[in-house]
Amino acid sequence: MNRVRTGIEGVDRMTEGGFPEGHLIALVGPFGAGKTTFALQYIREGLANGETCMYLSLEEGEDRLIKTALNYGWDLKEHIGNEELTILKVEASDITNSMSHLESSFPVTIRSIGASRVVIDPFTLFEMLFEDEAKRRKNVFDLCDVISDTGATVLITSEVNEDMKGSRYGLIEYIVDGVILLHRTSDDYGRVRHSIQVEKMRWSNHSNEIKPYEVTKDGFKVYIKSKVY
Amino acid sequence: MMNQQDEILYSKIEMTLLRSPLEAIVSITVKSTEVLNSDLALLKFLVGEKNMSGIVVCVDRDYKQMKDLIESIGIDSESLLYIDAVTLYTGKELEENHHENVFFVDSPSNLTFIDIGITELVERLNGGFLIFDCLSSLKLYNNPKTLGVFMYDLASKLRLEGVYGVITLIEEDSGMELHSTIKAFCDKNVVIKTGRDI
Amino acid sequence: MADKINRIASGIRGLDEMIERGFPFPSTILVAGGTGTGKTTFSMQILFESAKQGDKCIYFSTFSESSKWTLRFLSNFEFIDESYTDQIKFVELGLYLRSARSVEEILEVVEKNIDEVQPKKIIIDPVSIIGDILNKDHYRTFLYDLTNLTKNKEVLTILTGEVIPGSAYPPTLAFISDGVILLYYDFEGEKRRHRIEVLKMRGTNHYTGKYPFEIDKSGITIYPSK
Repeated sequence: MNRVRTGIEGVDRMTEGGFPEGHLIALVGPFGAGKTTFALQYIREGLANGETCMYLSLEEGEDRLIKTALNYGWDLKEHIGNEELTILKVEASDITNSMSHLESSFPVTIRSIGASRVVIDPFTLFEMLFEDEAKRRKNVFDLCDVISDTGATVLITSEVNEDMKGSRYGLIEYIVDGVILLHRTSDDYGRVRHSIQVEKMRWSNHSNEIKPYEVTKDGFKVYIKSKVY
Repeated sequence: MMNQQDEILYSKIEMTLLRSPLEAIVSITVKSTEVLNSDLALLKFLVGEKNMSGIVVCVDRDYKQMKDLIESIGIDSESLLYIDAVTLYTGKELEENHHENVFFVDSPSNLTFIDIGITELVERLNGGFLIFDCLSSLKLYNNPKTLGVFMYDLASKLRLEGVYGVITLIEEDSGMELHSTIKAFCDKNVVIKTGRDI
Repeated sequence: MADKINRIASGIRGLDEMIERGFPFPSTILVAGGTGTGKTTFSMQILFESAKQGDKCIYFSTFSESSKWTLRFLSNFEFIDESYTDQIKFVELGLYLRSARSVEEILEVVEKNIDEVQPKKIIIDPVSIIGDILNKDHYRTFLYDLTNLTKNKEVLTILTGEVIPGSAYPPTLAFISDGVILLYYDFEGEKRRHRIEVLKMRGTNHYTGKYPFEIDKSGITIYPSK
């Protein structure tokens, strides 16, 4: 099983070298936990590795993403220029209009670009299209199915549910091959503490431990040698 | 010329610490009023006498005050590394070029980041020592159970990295479960009575 | 790491091995122990072995009885060699102590003798008697001044000290000394079993723990390998 390095050192250590190639990984966490930073760092790693990458953004526009990346010292413009990176902003109207259209156009886009590394950020907006649970399950399952057929290693980001311990609808954990959970807790003194946990990673002897992390000026940093007290 | 109580303190430290390579973590029990003196005597011995470098975890005083105190006993404070859990906590802004030998932690209650800081600084050490100024104050910000786990994990880490850990305990708190827990995992436990009445 | 410290052989079999080839020089060494542990024998042997090497030495006795008594008691030992007694000056410091009014007066006697003899090693045996005569603060001043004096004069100073039962070692003496050696004995049946411990030796990676030694006609022999 080939591994795709994530570009976040602690995460690679926790997952026996990175994500399993060609599979679907969900990054689940609350607002402000650093999901987009994580996703950008994942892309940056791919670009540094000479891979063609695609960032499907459902919230942030291309300019915002480029600016955010620049804050960490990552210049994405250059890669967009030579077509190593494609940022696609999916508009709300695209989503509401036709899910089946997306189901066919996504994989075609991925294949035509030849992307081996893909980010969908955030995935939750797709799930939100469906009021009916059964419909949601079926459509999300089908969408993930066709995406993973492309052979790209896909990272999808997801919002959390109310108790902050799982994804919004509790659905994608069952569909994807790996789940990374970002926790945001307040200690007794009201201070916010961030921690990360690999909840699931198929074909991996992954670490179950909860590790502290920070979003620093250099990006997402996991303190693999420490623990959360 | 030091006064007699300081001599007793220093002598005891000089003659009981670092006796064997198997001695990695030790505890020193002193009266609460002797804690700072004990820390300074320790530094005088470990740095001045044994030429070691080390980490001072600053919980009571910020690193600048600590450095001044260290200089006042004739020890070069520049050769040491510091974890400062005070400066940020008091709301002070960090200066642009704060000292590169200092790792700042936002609060004494943030054991996670004190651990992260220690992990990072230990890598720069290559042996050496670690002391707290002081453990007792950490008790104010953390519950004893968590603190016990933290100290235990820290001791294991220091042992693995070959860092000599000295934990100063307060005589008046001797009955605490935390104390017995700590003493149990120490390689040596020293009690120093200076006889000083203040 | 290269040993940049000057060292001087102790003259006691087995001791140099425990302290990286010898005492740091110059320095002040405390030899402490209870009564009968062998302090005087130990320090005398150091002195005589030194004399045999051609060094001059001074033995300052603080006992009120004369050194000749001490010598007589020790004369059974083979290391006491009459032919070297010229190399060693015996000073009855005890006599001066009775009338001394100040720290300076005592130090003057010591300094005068050092200047006159130019010794390599001196012994003050036991120094604790000076402690009994002077008050606590004056005693400490005396000790500090003494160590400075002898260091400046480049003399190895051996102080013997009484250990009070119940305490491990005399604290101020231990503090001002560069090296501290403790002598013990316990009983194994009827026989005395002597042991030595180097508690500290500045600048030296010394042996730690207690090691057996024997006292016989040839003097003291330490067995650091046991």
